[in-house]
Amino acid sequence: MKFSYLNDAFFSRLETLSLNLRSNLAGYFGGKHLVKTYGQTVEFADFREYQLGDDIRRIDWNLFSRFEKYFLRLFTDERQMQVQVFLDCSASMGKDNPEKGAYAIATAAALGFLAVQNMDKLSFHFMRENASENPFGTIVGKNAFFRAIGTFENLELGEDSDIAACIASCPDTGENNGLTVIVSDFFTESNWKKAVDYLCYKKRQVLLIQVLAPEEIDPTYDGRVHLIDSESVDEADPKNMKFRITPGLQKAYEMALNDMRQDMQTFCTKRGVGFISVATNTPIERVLFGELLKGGIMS
Amino acid sequence: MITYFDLLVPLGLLGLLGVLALIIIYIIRPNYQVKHVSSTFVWKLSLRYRRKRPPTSKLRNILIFLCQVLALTSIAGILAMPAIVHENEIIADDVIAIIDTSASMNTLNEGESRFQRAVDEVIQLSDSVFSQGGSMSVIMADDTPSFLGRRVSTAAARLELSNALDELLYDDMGCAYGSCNIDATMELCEEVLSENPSTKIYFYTDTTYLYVPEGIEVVPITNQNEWNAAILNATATLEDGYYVLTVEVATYGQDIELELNVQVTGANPIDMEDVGTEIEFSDAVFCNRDTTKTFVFRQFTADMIIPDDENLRYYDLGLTQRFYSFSDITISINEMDSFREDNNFYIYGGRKEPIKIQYSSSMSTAPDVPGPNPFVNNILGTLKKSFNDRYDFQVTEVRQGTEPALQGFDFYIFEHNMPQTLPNDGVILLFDPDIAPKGSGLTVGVERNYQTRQMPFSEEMAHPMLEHIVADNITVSRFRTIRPDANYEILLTCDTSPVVMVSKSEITQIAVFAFSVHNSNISRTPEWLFLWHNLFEYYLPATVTGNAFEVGEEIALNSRGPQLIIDGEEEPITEFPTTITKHIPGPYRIQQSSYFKDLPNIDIFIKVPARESNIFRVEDSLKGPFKEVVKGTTFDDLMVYLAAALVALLFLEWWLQSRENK
Repeated sequence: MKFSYLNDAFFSRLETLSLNLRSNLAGYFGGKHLVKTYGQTVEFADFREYQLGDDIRRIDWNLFSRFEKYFLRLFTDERQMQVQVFLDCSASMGKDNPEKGAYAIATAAALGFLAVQNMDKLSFHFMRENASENPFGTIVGKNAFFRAIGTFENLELGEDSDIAACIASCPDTGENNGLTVIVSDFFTESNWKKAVDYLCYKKRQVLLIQVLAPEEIDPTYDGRVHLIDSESVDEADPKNMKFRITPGLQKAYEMALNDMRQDMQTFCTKRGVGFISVATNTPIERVLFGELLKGGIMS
Repeated sequence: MITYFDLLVPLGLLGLLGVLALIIIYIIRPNYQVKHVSSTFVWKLSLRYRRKRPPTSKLRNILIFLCQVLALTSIAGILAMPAIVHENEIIADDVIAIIDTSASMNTLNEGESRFQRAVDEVIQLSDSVFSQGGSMSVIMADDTPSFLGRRVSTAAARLELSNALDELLYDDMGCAYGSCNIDATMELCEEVLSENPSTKIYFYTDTTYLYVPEGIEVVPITNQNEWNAAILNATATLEDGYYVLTVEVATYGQDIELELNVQVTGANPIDMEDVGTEIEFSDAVFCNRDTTKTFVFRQFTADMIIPDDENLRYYDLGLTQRFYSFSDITISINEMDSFREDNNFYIYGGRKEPIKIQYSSSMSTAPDVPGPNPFVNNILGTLKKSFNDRYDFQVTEVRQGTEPALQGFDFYIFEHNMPQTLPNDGVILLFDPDIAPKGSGLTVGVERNYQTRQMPFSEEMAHPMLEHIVADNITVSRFRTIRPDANYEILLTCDTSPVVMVSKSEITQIAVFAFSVHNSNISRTPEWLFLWHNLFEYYLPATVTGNAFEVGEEIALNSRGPQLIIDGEEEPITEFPTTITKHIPGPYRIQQSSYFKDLPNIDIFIKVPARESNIFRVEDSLKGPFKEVVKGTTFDDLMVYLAAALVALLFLEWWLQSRENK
């Protein structure tokens, strides 16, 4: 891959950030994410009347002196989350536009870095056709993370991908235990909404990141063109189009793209799913420090 | 009022080639541009958002193409300058009558010539025109056409024109003997047409024109009973010591056996004083009409091959008929044909005038040694051949011990040794004079010697003597300074001193070469021959070049004396060179004399042009007069409408294109 954002300077800038996940997730023992369940941390959460079997060492004797009743002091709990990053590896993500592919990979890697920095479990899933690959397994710790991303530059983008099928067929999506990030352009005929609904059913926090190239937002070509889709098999593939691009059609394209993004935003808002759409000509730092911070995904 | 549509510049329709170019552009215009994109997903979505195209949009491309074609057609139409032409009707008859007065119009039929018949018809036409209140112009079309009447309309002018036409009927000289100058005639017509472009032209002629331009009506006045036997041309050339007589004859309108009679006068004189004998011979041949036959009268030789040509007839001149010199030859046809002016032909110039030249040189050595100065001797031999067709040069060289004669010669050449006095009966050339003879008007000075240097000549003035001579080409190393008096013209100088000068007046005719041929390079240059040739041309010019001319032809005349007298001319000609033109065919005699003596008379023959002998002549086309602007014709220019249509079409095309791009 010609373009790559992955270098030490890039990751060093991310060390001040952390993922801000929902507090109602269960997660695993350990970790740094504060959850609603009570645990053994030093951070006070609440009082509760003593019940039989409670540890008498946790009785607040000051309250006993005032009310002559036994109250226990409760403290919050910290959990380890499972972060899954699903990366669309279809041809539209970068076969003809390596910058777009590099941008998507960098976004996925940045989120993964934040996960391992918070001592969360991380897994990368590459979506190809109807299945997703998880070549690195569960990554814990920075050493394993950097070993994994060292192979990202050799990642090949090609063929088609069915997001719904890929996520549904993933064997370890987990339940109520973390964040699932889907990085794609969502230019697919498959019903990706099913995948989101599935993840919501699994009570996972979901974040959709749509990566678009500038020419996809504002196509500069016009006239009599024969558009060859990067996912097409040959010239006769129905994905290819032969038509005359007029100013009217360009306006229709703009409307179609806006409606598509608006539809995604509405869908995600209804389900409490995070959604951001970024253009590859936007500096990736602005996406991480701007869009994701603004959306509350990071803190 | 006649109204019709016309293109003033039809070549502008070449602009329609632009339509062809447009079609080619449509055929070869670039195909779909291939563009690789990440995904066509959004484009497919956008098709749903595209506004539905109205049914007319399918015709839009056709309409755009049609607009472009029509715009190009409009441009081509504008280039062709279309107009509605309105021609006004002729208000009154305005007529030009051209009477052909060429020689063939003298052809007679039952005592009346074609010319008279033409005049008769013009009289009738003029009566008709005048009765309708029109105006009439009459042009006499000979070699120098002129108006007999120009746009005659008033009563006085009508009467004058009628009288002039009546006089032509009885005037023997009314019809000319030359040819009709059509170009000049049409220029006269153009003068009238510039005033009234709708003037009708009637041309009364005996020539048949296969194409006659619009606006001219040719009125034929030939009669099928007319015929003509003609001598078209005749020449006498010297071959093998005897003259060969060649005569071209033809018949028109009839096939006849033609007999040709030849009479040679003054043949074979023994000397200049002898009048010679008279020889007659004749021959006959059957002539088909419109076919030229050639008679060749000559002595047959053993090795002569007679060509097998039915139009050639050879006649063997016997011992008593052949001739090597003659005074004149008369060739005649004794036929009672309709046109007699070409039945006789005269040939002159069978005797050459002797020119006696005396050459005296200081280099004369012995009485029997030929040529005292070989350069001069050779040049005289060359000039004898050069002037052979005009003069018979008789050169007398003065031998050693003999005094040069001072009279009895036409041309005296003195080289180096000069006589004390000069002859007064001929032209004198003083070549490298050592002294100035008495009465020469010269003062001889010292000799200039440049040793080994060669000094070039310089030309002082343009003069016939210097024709073809480049002065710089001539150089001398030594010459004698001579100061001439005012009678001389200084032609060439060397180092500011005159070296070639001439005098030509009634008193003296002297040429001076102030250098020796031995001290000059002139003998090795062409200028040597040119100088001598020009010298004899200047002092002994040909009075007339040729002895047979056509009516109306310019005849160049020159003279060795003060004047020429031509038969029939009241005044002698005194300025030379000059040209004359004769309008009546026949023989003419020119009396001439030099400043020193009377010279033999010169005879010339003026004949009718050979083409006039064909009295049923047919020409391809008649040149019409040029009409500058047809008065009474108005134009409604359609260009502005086409320009408006062009603007509308371009706007429509732009609008359709903008709709197409939405």
